[in-house]
Amino acid sequence: MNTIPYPLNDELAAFFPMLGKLVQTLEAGAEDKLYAFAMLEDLDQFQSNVSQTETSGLTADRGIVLRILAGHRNFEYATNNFDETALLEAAETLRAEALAYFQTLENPPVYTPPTWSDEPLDTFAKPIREQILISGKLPEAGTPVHFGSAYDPSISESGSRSETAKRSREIKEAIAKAGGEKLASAGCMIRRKVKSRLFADRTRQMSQSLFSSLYYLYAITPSGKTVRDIIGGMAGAEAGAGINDELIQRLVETADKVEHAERIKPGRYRIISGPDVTGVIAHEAFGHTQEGDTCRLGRSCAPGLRKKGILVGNKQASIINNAGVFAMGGIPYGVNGTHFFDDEGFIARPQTILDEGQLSSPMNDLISSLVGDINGPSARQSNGKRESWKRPLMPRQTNTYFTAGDKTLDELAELCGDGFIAEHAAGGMEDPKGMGLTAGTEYLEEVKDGKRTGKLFLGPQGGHIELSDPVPRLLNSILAKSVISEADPMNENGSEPINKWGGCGKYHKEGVEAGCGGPWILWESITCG
Amino acid sequence: MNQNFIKNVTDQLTERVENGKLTGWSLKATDSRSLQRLYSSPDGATLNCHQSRRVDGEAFKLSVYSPSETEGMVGTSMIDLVTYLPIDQQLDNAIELSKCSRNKAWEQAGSPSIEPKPIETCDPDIRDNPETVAADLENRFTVAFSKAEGCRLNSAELFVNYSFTEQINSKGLSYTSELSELYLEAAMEKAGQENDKEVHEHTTSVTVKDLDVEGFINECALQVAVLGDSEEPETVDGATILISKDALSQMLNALLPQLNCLNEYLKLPYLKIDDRFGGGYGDSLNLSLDPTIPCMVLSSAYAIDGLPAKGGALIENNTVVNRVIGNRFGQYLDLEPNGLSGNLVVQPGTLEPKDLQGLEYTEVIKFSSLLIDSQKLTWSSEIKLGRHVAADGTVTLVKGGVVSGNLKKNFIDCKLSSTLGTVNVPQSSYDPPLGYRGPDAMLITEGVSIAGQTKEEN
Repeated sequence: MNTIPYPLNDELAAFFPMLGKLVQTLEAGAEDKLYAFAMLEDLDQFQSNVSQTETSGLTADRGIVLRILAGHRNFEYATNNFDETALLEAAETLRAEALAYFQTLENPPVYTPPTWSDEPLDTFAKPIREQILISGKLPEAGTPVHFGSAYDPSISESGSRSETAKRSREIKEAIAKAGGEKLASAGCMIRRKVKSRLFADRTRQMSQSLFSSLYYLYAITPSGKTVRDIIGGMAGAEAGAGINDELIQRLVETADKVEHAERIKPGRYRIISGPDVTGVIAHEAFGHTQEGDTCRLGRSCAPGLRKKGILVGNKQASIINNAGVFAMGGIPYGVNGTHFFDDEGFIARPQTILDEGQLSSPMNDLISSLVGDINGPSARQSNGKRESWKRPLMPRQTNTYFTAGDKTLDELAELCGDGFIAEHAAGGMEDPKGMGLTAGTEYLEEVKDGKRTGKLFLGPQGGHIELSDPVPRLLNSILAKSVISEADPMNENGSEPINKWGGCGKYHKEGVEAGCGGPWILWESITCG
Repeated sequence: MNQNFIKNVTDQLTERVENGKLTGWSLKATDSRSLQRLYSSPDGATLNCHQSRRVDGEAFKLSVYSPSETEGMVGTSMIDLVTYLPIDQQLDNAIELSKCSRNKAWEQAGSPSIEPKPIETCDPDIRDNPETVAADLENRFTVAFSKAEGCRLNSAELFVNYSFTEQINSKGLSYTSELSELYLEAAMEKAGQENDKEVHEHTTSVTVKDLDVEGFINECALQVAVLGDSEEPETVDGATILISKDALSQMLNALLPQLNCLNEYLKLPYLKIDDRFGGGYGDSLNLSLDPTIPCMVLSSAYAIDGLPAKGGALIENNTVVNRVIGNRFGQYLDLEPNGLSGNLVVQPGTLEPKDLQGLEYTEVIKFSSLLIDSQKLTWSSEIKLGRHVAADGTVTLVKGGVVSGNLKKNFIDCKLSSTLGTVNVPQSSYDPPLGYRGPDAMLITEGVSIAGQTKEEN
């Protein structure tokens, strides 16, 4: 593959001078009191969905967020009216509001943003490092830096709506044909998205364009049981290159097996989780519990456990949060939780949030890093994210995954003996205060006498299955983990574990992209119902 | 509302219909304003705003229909129009895109012969004085919380939202609607001790008058008061559970697609007229839709497809008596579109607190994440907080484990409360909007399993 970074178009780049002017207005004469930035978000998305009906749609959304940090309070104004005069007026109003508040504070803290030379370049992923440096040198404050996710421009489907719609139809028809009478319905949705951000503060101007593709294939049985394959990544149509007859046949066979699946009895079972379900467990386990806002607001158990030095998992329980995943397993691209910088302009870097059962400082946005929790302030991370310019920003996960182990999947099955494989995720939920965890799986595959039998099971009432346990019990029950890639067992490529396409609706409110994954993991036992 | 933009767009759309490039179009324009405040509470009692936001936005959603070479078919596409790109270029894009999707042709709803009565869905105070409304609600919250004994406040959120929408199409349909929404959320726990449980609740309303801040704080405080040591529930493959109006409304909302002719066309499971749903010796299910209840989120003079909205029964005494027949899919199936839409309305049952005496059951106070499959009609969730009540009245707080169920069985031999409650999930929520007026609680005796600890483990 010959990939190039996705470029920033001229029409968007033309906003930089205005963003610079807005930052100057937001901070005018008060740089020693206030910290401000301006962020322009742009979404350009095409989607084709073919089932019994066909839809083609373009989603376009652009908005600007003006932010002032005064003391420990964020003031924001957001709009999609780009009239410069109106925006400058809004900036002045916001500045007056923030200053009035600042002046009521005793010994207010003042934030100073990092310059390019303050950045720890060595800790950044290669695609970030390479795009920061201009002819091997750090950029000047006023020089716009653009980051683009890699894609292969030679694949015409990536940029062609008609080809993409044709592919959706072909895939849907192939599923329907392979399924015949076994299926009531079939469908395929393909989505291509370019999500761009322009950021300006007093130290830098930068932009990023994240190009991603999602292929969502589904087969529905006569009784309404749906089996799906979700294939996606931060790439063009190359993300869908692996969709072939074999994959479609497997989808249809699985649907037929699910249609006739037996039901498990509610109880505890030995489980092997696939990367998809492993990722949901990582995300819900000490993912949400380690988010800076839940920690500083007293809504997470993590700061207390960390203060007391309590281990919350065994030696195998290590979880990373990393927005800078640009390759995973044997795949040369990242997933939808990947970014170059977050929605507050902080550059991606990996963070070990759980190290062999030991908790680290939380995943912070700017304000959480300054305010801190009962353990005091801690390092800022690249976790300040928002659903869109219309919604508030919070510390959110990017890509959350367990570290890899040393086993193959067959070896895990052998160690498992009798149990089940949970491969396809179906939601999950956190309880950061109570350390509860639930992760759904569409169905379970039986493992008997150390071998996969291919027999599928549904939940006790015929639905999906929830896997649930108190987090410390669960994280102490990891028996073994798989390698990142069986083709590269020593991980000589230095790759990250597979992360799956995912999303997160923190507390059922704010939806953001979040990849999650990890290796196959064998758990001693988990409550299933 | 950007009327100049709308006029330019509709003029150009009309021109494209006249020259045969389009067979029709519909446009939904929305202006919205939102005031958003997020609070911490360093002293555990008062609100300290750490994020204060004002948001102004406009959105234009356009659907176009283009002629097809195949008789009886139509090209369709949906796009977001933006004010920062040339209109003609965007419309040409939409037309080009519509050639990628082929569908059976249908007639859009036109202007009705009798204009439906407008429905009250907006509080003028929220529209005109959002800052004052927010300040008043903050004060009411602080006063109410100061009276909530034994509670420590961790965080709160307040959203004051207003939107104005104009819907028009090429068949002459044209109407406007206003919507106001309030969202108040609080997270709190027991004061003066280290806790592993919190109460995290929210309340919503369309008007200031309907946002019962004091009642909300009282309910949260009552929940905080019962927090204490808990156990995992016991495994039982045939449990009796008591659920609240929130879970019940979500379950009935998941049933709704099976009462819509859309499912028939999409070849998904659906219920036919005269089909039975639930029954047995318990309370009968009587479910209808009502779009006319003032100040509820799904109240509207028009259904989503532009037909005048109508209310009516869907299930009477556990028998399906009617279905939602939308404009497009009704035409596809040769059924008369009926405009049925609105809030879910369920008749009360007979369940009263005294009926629970002597009964062993688990009350699920809060599901962690109630995931309901609207095709299989199954559901499953971890129990975030519940109470196991033994037949002798002994109460044990339960947490964790998994409870799952099957709606087709759950409505057999069930009991619905005699008291009524309301649920309003606003349009600006993460979840789709939901309006519900019906029983406060439901006692389910069939089709529920609980996975948790087994007696051998005790």
